[in-house]
Amino acid sequence: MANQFEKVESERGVTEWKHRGNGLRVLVAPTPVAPVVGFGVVYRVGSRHEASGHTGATHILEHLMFKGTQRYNSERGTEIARQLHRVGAAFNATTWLDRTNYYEILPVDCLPLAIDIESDRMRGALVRDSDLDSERTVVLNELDSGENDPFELLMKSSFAHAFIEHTYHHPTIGWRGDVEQIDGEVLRRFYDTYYHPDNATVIVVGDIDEETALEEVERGFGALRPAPGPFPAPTIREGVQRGERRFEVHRAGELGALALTWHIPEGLHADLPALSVLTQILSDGVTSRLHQRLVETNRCLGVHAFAMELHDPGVFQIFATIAPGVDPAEVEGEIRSEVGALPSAPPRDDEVSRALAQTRTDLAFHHESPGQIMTGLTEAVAMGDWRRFLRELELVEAVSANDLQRVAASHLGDHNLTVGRFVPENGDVSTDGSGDAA
Amino acid sequence: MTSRQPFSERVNSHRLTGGGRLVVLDNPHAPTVTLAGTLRAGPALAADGRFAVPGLTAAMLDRGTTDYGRLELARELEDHGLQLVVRASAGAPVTVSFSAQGLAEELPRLTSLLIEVLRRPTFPSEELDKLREQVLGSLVRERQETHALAFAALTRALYPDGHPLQRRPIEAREREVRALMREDLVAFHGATYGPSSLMLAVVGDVEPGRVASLFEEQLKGWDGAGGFEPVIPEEKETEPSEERIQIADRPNLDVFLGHGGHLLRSAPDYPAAVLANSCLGQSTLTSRLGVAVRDREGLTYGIYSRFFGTLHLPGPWAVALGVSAENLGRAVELSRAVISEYVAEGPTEEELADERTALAGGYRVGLATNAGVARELVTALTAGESVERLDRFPEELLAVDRDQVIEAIRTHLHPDKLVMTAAGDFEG
Repeated sequence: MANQFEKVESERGVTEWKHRGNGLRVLVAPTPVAPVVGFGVVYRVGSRHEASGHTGATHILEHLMFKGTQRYNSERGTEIARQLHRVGAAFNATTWLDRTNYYEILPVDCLPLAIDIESDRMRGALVRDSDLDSERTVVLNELDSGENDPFELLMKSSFAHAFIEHTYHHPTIGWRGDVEQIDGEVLRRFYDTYYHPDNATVIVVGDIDEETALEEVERGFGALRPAPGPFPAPTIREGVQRGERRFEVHRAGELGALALTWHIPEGLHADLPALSVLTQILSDGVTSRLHQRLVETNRCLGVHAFAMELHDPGVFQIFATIAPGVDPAEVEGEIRSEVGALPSAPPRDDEVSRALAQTRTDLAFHHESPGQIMTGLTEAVAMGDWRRFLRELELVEAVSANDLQRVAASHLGDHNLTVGRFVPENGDVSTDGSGDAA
Repeated sequence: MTSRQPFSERVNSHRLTGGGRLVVLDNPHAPTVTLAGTLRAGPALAADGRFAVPGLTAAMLDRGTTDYGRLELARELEDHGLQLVVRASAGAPVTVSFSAQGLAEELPRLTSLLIEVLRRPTFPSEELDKLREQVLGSLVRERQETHALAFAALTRALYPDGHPLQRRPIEAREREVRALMREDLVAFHGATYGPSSLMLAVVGDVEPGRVASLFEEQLKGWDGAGGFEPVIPEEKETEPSEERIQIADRPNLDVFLGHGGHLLRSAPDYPAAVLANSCLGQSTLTSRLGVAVRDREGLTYGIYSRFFGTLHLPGPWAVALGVSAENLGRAVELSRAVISEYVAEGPTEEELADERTALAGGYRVGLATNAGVARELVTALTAGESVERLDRFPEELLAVDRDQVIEAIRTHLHPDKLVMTAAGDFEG
């Protein structure tokens, strides 16, 4: 049955195949480390594909994909979660800016079950109004959980201020008003637009040979037809930011926080490995610059830098939790001074070699188990090229001190910066009951 | 050697000089090594209920040793891509646990640094002052954390003052952290840290004999202390009660419904009790509570039940859920009804069959990573079990029948004793 698939490319133990009939992409990575297999489907649809008024659609749809498909539903007593749970699978689904993924890690002899469920989910989801009614409040509770967390509040607002034109502007979970009002028709249309084999990549990693994996995938997905037309994709590009933006989020609380956000290029751009190394130099470990400057001096409880690798141009962010009694302006000044110094002097050799040692180790762990390999491939597929996961080390090894200076000068300037402050206001902390106040 | 062989055939066990134990599993698939370990130096061993002393002792270990200053040690680790963490947890209060990982070629350095921090910390005063401020800052953060606050309130309702499972009010913890002295930590380290209770699991691309000799080399001449048992106060009789902790601007309430637990993993009914809990609340998506409260009624994003601690000290059994203030009453009422019905009737044979295979299969899936294997191995060692238990446990689960589960429900789940605690914004 493997002749239903045309081999596209092979690299470092992973092979990409394309189904001749329906365009489904399949990545197979035989990894006999344990008697389990990781199976995942990545749909190239995320919250960036959502239109105004329908934000959160991708994520609610992901929830509804557990509520019933033609073969797997409560009426038949074949609920998806139950079928997977009873074989001991670790399973879930996640939605993010560029993609939605469904995955199972399970005993290798249960792979046909995962494939049957996912193939039914691809074209057989019921997406019923009655399911939406109960699931909407589940999602609203999930949204509330995010509102509990100053970090998530700052992240949400940072994206909303940094992106004005591009749909990364709105949060993946959606704006509350949209989540409260979105109807089943919108979700069914969204499903029928994006859930097709030619908009998906299937990933099989584990104790299985390539031939068997492809046979199983063919059995589940082979009969599905490709999408009737092309997939709509947002073409909007964020305009160049030409001036610093600032915002504040006020909530009850005692600890302040800061988020600094700069626009950077898309995940596959040649500057990203250098930006990623900069995050390590700035905030990875006790020896890092911002940790030494802010945490070891007890001005922050923690400082973290990220370079977000996305399909479209993303962001470089620094997030700091400010210690009690410390002026946020002082912390912001210290961070900006450290970042501002990057273009004028190359990092020391020991900083660059330390970042490389950390990357080498991190990547070895990322390739350790089927679940970790599947996760790495999933994010690379979302970025636009699965091989990126396999090439990370050589890309980082090629980064020079000059590259680090150059990318800092190109992307981490003041006019490209959005600064957000979480401003704690004295909350009401009291108890009603027999116990002590916390 | 293949991944399908039993652990007992793949694992090498060693008795270390000084009384500790080491198990090594060679997994050549990735060029990494993962260490996990425990030592009997957790909060339960603190004198006079000063539970912050063990936590700060553990947190100070990598802030200065005989051979390294704080920054030198950090450089030695980070220059070679190594991670090393030692922590005391209130959930497993008898031991401190540690983990370390890196590329397999770094094993000698990792071994040496691990034993260095356990054996030769110097507790520099200036580092203690820094750490003290950081801990006080994290306690300020905890004052806004609904999950931590609701769970702490539950433990205060269930355990008396002086019990290591009782999470004291934050103000009391702040007072203790402010008052403790360097000498307190030095004394605690001297009294508890030693090779006799050292339990170690090493998994990765390593040669077992070499791992054993590396540790033997590092442990040479370390007498250390250890060997004393914690004194645990009697638990108190509790009545059903409710406590609500108002935290403004926290729209998701974290809720616990629980009572004291008496389950240890060494108990004969452990597999039956695990199954008894899991039919009710193991998974938000499939267990009874999740199906009723999330799937049917849409009242919560997450709901589960657990025995919170079964290693040396039995922790509480509780249901945890997140919910908005407007749905709190309905969600709690429905949860109570589900628990009561389940306790009265027990699981169906079908539910039980699903959970048996789920747990047995899930156990194997969880052992697909080196970290997962190391964690299970060291837990077995710490509990005084043999490595064979890892191979046998799935079969033990599959052999449990419904009568045994019903008996375990009677023994371990008591809907008439449930204490409810909730933290979040009830007024927003």
